[in-house]
Amino acid sequence: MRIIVHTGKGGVGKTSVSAATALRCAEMGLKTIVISTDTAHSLGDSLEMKIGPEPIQLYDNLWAQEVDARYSMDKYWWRIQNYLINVFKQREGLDDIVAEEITILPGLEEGAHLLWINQYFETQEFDVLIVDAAPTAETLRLLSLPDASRWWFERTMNLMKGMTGRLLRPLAKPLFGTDLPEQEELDSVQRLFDTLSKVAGLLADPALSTMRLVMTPEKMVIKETQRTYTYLNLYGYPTDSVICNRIIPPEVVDPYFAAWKDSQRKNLELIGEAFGGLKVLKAPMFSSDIGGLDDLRRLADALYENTNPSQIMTAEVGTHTIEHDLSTGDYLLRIPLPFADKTDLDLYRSSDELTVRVGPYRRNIVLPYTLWKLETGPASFVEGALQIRFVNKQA
Amino acid sequence: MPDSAPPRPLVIKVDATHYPMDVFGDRLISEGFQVVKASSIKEGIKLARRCKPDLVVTIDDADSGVDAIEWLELQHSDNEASLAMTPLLILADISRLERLRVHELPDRVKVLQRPLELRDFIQTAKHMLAIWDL
Repeated sequence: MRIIVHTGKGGVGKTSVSAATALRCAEMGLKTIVISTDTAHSLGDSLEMKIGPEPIQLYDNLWAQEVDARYSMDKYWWRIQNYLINVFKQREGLDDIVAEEITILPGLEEGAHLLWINQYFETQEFDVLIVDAAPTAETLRLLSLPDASRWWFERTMNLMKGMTGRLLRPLAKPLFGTDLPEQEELDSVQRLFDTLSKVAGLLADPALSTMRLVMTPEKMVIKETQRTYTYLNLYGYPTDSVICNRIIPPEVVDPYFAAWKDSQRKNLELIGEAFGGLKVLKAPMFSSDIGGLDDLRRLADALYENTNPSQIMTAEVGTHTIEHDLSTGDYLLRIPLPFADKTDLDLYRSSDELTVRVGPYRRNIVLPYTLWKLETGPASFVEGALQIRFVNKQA
Repeated sequence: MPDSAPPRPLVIKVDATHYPMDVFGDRLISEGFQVVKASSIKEGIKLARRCKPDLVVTIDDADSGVDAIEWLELQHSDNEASLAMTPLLILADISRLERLRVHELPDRVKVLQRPLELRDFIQTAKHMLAIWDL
């Protein structure tokens, strides 16, 4: 199975690209499903078919689904949140609003999309799963959810589980004004977080998943796409190509478009330089809105010609690596973060976890056991990658 | 102090589709309905006799074995008058609509074509129970 996630700034044509890619895969004989995670669903318009919250077969080998963004992922979480609010209020003396704010797990509702990805992986019903993702910020929030949730899970669930939970249970109501959540509810949340972690693993596996950055050749869009690429690298999600959409074709010679064409040409050069390691797929601007099978086929022809869109476009995709220096016993952890500004980068560690912050996004990398006892040595930012040395003092 | 909240409408949902996530059931719950689920027609009839629901929702799906016509016949001919008169909402594929002969169905039965918007589904369910959003 292959999972392809199309993301990018709003309005660059992610949905058309997703629909065209899905149609091409289906017509090549691959059993394909395309799912939309954007709350403003438009996949149905692009395919000119009505699509609902359940998967529906549209044509031979092609299924589609517009995932319900209000799906009640948090149906058990609200009780746990309620309990935590009361604990924070009583024990820490926080007021209502602050207590409520620190118990919100951002992006939980959108996490429903990740659950569907897990389902399709589990059932192996399809050869290709194409995700028409929401605009960049929402998608990044979604993709960082498994990481953010682990912090929550470990620090808050321990309050309620095991011995502490059993001892506290009879005292919870008089102390905190609310009952402890039932074991069944805690188990459900545990399963939920386990699934989120699993999906993060699936999306970070370059043999299985691929992120594709859709953009138009405009300066602002390129800047945002560069930032997205950095954040995807931060979370270890492999990107194999950029899709440059709506390029004014050479046959347009109207002087009205001359300046625009010139600016697109310069920006295309910039894209080639900026994303040098990645394959750049190009599609022209069509004379009207893309809709229906014929238009989608034309778009797929432009992007993929006769090749299979589900194949990996760039062989070497960046994920973090750990190298062992046999002469010193040191280890070197390398995290590719292209386009990151080193002044906007933080790094701190506990014994078993390394936290990297780039801009507003934070990633906790669980360190392998071999690195736990090693001291963190110097960190440097070299050729678009953060390098951290773990020093073996016993050597 | 007695609980002054009005009782939540009870829905029996007959659904044998293989999706582990219950999109329709969960949306009904989030809209304030109580939902009891049955995974076959036999189980659904047994539950309906016992619980006396306000509404039955059936996912008509040939692949999973729930046939809305079979349900309709069993419900309509049930000895318990309350079950025979319970409103029924059928969610059916376009390929099954002709067989359901929608225009001949009694007023208490409504059919929505899948795929459908969840908003339409909830509005129809509320409309059938005369619940209005204010």
